[in-house]
Amino acid sequence: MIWEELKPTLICRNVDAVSSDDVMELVGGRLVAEGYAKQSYVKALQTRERSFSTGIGIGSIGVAIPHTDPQHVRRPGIAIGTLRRPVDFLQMGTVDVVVPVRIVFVMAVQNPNEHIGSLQRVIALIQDESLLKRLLLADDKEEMIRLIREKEETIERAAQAS
Amino acid sequence: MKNVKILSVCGSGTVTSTMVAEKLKEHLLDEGYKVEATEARPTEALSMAQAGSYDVIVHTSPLPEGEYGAPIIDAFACMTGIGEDQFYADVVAVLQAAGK
Repeated sequence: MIWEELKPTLICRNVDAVSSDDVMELVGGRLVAEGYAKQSYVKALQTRERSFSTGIGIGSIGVAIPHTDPQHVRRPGIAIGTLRRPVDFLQMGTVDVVVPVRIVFVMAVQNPNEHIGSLQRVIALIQDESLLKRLLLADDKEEMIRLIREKEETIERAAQAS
Repeated sequence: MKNVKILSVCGSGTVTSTMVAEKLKEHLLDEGYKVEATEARPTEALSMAQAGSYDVIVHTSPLPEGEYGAPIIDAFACMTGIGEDQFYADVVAVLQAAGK
């Protein structure tokens, strides 16, 4: 489960960023500081985002899922950042569609095949607009972790029921 | 159960392509297909497509121009959930068109 791995130190609220480079440094930098990624990770995130953008515009809240090559990662982890103001990212797969992003899920991934469950749940999280709204309005990091925990438990129950 | 080979392409050839491949495996299983997926970066996609015999190529990053030898379908809908059912239907349609 994603929430089990989420520590307050991997969550940044109301990040003061004006560019995607800032976001990588401020949110992606948490993964470096906490030992999940190497020093080279932030620069690699920034470079990769320029070649292959990760913005995803769904509904009213834009999301981005920055990530980069496994060689910059020490162990798998996810850092979450809510942005004080929307920051422009390019939509994944495009070179000209701008997405104003309010929430980022920065992923440190080594072997994606070992974390398929987590990757699938990240997609479920970003597709839940009401969850994203509640994450933006959350009073503190603990509430954000609780919201994600509840969402993941709902997904688990649905999977078991089917 | 029919076996199909899918090449899934994204920027790093890891994260997004794995997400897309897993979703396809899950959904195509219901349609009677057993999916063998290979993940690739855009820069290696063309040579991999030409070297292997894939039934369909799905991508979330722009693909370089070239003769891929298989139908190419944009998989971004897997990330947003919007138009996702149409995406699976499109994949099934090209598989059926190829006699699978």
